[in-house]
Amino acid sequence: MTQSTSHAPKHSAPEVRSGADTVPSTGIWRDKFGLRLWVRLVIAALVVVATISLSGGLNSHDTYLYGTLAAWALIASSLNLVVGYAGQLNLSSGAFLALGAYIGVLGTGRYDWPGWKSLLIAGLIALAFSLLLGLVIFRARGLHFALITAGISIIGYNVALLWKEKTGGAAGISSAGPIEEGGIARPFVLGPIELSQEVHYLRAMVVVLVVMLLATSVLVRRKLGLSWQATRDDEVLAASVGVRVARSKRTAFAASSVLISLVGVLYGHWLGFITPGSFDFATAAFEPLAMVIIGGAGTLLGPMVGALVVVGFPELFNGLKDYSTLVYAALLLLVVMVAPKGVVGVVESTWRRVRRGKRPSEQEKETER
Amino acid sequence: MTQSNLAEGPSPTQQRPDVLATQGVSMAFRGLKALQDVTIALPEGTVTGLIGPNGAGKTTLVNVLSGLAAPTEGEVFFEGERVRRWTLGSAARAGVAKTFQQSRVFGEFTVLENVELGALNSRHDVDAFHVLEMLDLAPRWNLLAGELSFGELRRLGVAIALATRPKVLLMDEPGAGLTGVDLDQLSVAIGRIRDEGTTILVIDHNMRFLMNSVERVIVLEGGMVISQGTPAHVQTDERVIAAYLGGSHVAD
Repeated sequence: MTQSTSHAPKHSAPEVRSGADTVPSTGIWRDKFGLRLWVRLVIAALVVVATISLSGGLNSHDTYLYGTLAAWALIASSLNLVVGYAGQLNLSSGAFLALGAYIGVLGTGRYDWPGWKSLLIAGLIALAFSLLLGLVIFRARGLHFALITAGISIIGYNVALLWKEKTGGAAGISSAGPIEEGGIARPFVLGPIELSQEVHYLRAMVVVLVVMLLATSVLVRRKLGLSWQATRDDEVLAASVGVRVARSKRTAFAASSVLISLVGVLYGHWLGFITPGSFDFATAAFEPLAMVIIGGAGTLLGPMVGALVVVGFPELFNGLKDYSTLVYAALLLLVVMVAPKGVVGVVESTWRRVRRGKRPSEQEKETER
Repeated sequence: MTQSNLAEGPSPTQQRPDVLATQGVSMAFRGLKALQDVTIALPEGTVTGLIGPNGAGKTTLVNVLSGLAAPTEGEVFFEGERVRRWTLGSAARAGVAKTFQQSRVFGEFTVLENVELGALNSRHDVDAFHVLEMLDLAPRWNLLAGELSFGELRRLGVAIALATRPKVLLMDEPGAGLTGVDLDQLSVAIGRIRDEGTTILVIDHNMRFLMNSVERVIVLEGGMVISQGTPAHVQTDERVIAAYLGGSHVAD
């Protein structure tokens, strides 16, 4: 008995591997679709080259539109780590986005910090906050967790409104220097890179998005990312195989919150002028979550697709603008009911079915054995 | 078939060291004593059955052993040492794995990935395909866990636990709800797992399934151990007959 089992893998494993699906589905060099790392790198490079070469020809409205899209795709993709991969319904993104944006705008406009310093400070503060919060918020689960994190966003909004000395209160602040300079927004300077025009921000955000998605595609196949997903799928089972469940949730929350803050620095500069209204609950907490869920929580491209839907909707249906939150809520409800893995989830399962359908004979052979 | 496979395995002897043991474990839930002064031992490389009527404390005992619950009194010993901070996670990392009554799996992953997730925190290298083959799941490696049949799902649950490369595998009613071929396959798989050196504790209601698969039996009743020993010894124990087996079963 023992002998036959110990020899078996050498014979049957390659056979099985070449069966219904020739692609081993794990390993860091391939993602769920079986794309090798170099394929992903080529796609990423093509997207970057295309963006840089094509973005110059865009008119100002389109530049703004694509910039908005890239910004929200970044925010939603960052949020996806904790919501999609670790399965925690986090609504605190508004507070961390505001944190990064205010630090960025203050750093450039008031304190003359170089860009890296704003990023460093925003990242460290977000890290400290998220680690401290992580110690308490995960005592709650599910809806209670959502409620507590929603509270964090609401507190963030109120701090922005009331801490007038730093934030300028309801009147807001801008990245422009003193009025003697003419009140023109200062560029975001990061070493040799200087972002001043709208199109610069668009390019920068697309590059960051591409890098973030590449990094995510590798991360979710490594131990940390897999621990998040195991925790999401079944906490008790995950713990029973030795996954440190509490630590997984905390690291996902911290990673996501720090990224959102860093994106916030860029986002604040891109807006140039920020008020608490830029970070109200509906805009900065609910909508990113809606993007993640509509597009496909826990999928690589889902948040981007979600951003496309949520940002694109008001663009397509201009008259609906005031009701946009209502529309997302309805859309969200629909997605949760009929497609819990969002748009990308539907595409993925269809893709699986189509591929399987192609080779029915081999599938049967496997079953018979 | 099943019986002969298992009967050929190493016979339990007194010299084998105990991998997992309890000493005077009691568990009280608001006055209700679920376990009372339970002292048991699992000798290395054996399959032990844990039986007893409903409410006898079987699941509670497994929870104590697996770190899911802390006993109100008494101690748990792993490889001869008293355990401290024994949680489900630390027990798993130390080498005590558990399977669940309800087939828990990682639903969004394929069968192979489920095993790899199980192996994520193992201190040893794990051949995921070998684990799948031990559970007769290799041909299913690329299906999503959600696409498996009931019996396969149960075996995948065992595969996930086995992927941690445990020294001890605690199985909470692995045969519950299974019939025919599924039950046989599971029984054979338990034999294979034991043959590779894993110590196993199996809870089950199905007396025939258990008596054929195990070398030692522990009988719980009302939170107390009323009998412990070989199946033959236990089956003739008058207290066991009175409490659980009943005349008709013994006659088999």
